[in-house]
Amino acid sequence: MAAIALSQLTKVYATGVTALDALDLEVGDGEFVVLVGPSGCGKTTALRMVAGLERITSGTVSLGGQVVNDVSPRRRDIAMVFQNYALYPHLSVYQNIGFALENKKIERAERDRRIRAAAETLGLGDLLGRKPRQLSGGQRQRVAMGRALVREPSVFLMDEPLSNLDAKLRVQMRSEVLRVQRSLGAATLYVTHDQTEAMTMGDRVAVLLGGLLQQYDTPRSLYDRPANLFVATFIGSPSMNLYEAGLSADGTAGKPAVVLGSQRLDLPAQVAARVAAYQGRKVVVGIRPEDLVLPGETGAGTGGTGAGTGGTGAGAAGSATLAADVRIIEVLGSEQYVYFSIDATQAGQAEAVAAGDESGEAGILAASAPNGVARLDPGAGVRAGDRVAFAIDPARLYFFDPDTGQAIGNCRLVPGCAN
Amino acid sequence: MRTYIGLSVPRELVDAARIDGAGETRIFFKIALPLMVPGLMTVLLLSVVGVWNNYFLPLIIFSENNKFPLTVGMGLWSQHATTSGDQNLYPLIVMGGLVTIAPLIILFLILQRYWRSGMLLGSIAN
Repeated sequence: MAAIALSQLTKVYATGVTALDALDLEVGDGEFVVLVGPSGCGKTTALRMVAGLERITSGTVSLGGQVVNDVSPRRRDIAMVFQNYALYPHLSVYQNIGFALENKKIERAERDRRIRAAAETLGLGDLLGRKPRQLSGGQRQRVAMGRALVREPSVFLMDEPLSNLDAKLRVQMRSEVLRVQRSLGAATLYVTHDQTEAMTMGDRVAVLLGGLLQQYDTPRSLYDRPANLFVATFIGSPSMNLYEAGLSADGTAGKPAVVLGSQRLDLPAQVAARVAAYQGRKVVVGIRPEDLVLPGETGAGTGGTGAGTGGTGAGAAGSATLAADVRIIEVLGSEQYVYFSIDATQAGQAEAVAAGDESGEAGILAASAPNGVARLDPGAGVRAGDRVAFAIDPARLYFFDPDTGQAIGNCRLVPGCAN
Repeated sequence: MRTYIGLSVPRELVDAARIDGAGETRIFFKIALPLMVPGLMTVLLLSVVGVWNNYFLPLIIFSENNKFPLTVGMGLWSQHATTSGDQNLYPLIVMGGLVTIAPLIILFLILQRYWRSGMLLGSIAN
């Protein structure tokens, strides 16, 4: 039985705006599920409906197998960490953490024991007498966590709890939150707009856009098998390179090939079979930045975003090359981002390029602007202005329908995948 | 007051208290009321000053001299001193003025500790 089950959950505001459209989602016992998406995609609305803070337009929320649509928040056995902490400013840390236990009328000695245990877990032992205004951002966030975990709830809800922390503290707190969640073993629904947070923390991740669930899967599957263009670009940093392309049957020795601008990448039979239905038609081709390697390199894509590919790049298996002009190089120490341009049109950029062509100068700028990025080893000897030939394994290409944006046979690295 | 309360008691705090299992009455007395104290004290003080300084209403309502409040009594003394020319009343009037405002000054001094900025400091990020 799922700890949290959302069925056809819909929220339409009085203004007629649909914030959430028929969301189906299940979270198992002890599972850490992340809702991720851009601002306004409905993720916080979904969380608030689970908490009982938002009226449900239609659909059901079930907790532990019981429909709780009409149950008040206080009777749902949930705890929630808010985006902006929401600490009671006039109460001490001790009182903040103990407020829920006081409401439950738990005996004073037991209350004291649980507050101190929660405070110890979160390293707040010395701060129990302080008011929230006397704490740093990280400490406030810990108090908010303590307030939630002291209740020992069956369901944990977190609404972007790390978004107000600076980058360094956020990384620290990510593991802290996971540690606490694992020790509690409570099913957790975690909302964030940060794909890195989603990928590194979630057992499963639900990607939302415009109130619609785009894909619900493990981080690895989201990365390897994005269901559509949005997921493909949203997950992964830097984003996947997307180009308008054609599929033709006139590659080398009559092999099927992808036509990217003036270049052709031969497709092995296995890949060609996956996209056979689109032969002779336009498609959108996706290339992960770490799948482009220089011949002889082993690739930088060994897990930089936490999603990683775990692969060795296309260097060894690469049977196709992609010629590109290097424009800008960003060195990050452990890797470098090489921004390049090829003569293919970036997916979604056709209109912009056409407008540029009409205005002359803008057209020149558009033609010389980078339209792709490769993640390379910092030792790769490339300089801005170089003409390079990236090696790429065609099996690592992604294909999308240009009209619907849906993935076409993206079974990348997944043995036995029939998609 | 409605605008003030809206600003001084953020929705997130009320939501957090609901999740923490507090009923509406408890949320009001334990969470919302303490945050409204500066506003309530301001209203209290303005009301007290308004009543204390009221002149016309008690002048109409009360018919006996010994029931007049200080403002009316002082006014009558002043009127009497002007019409009768009794110079001895003026020191009394000046002293009476001091005595009249003393309670208000004391009240201001007592209540000023409630006028604090940053009541929500540390509670809500940004």
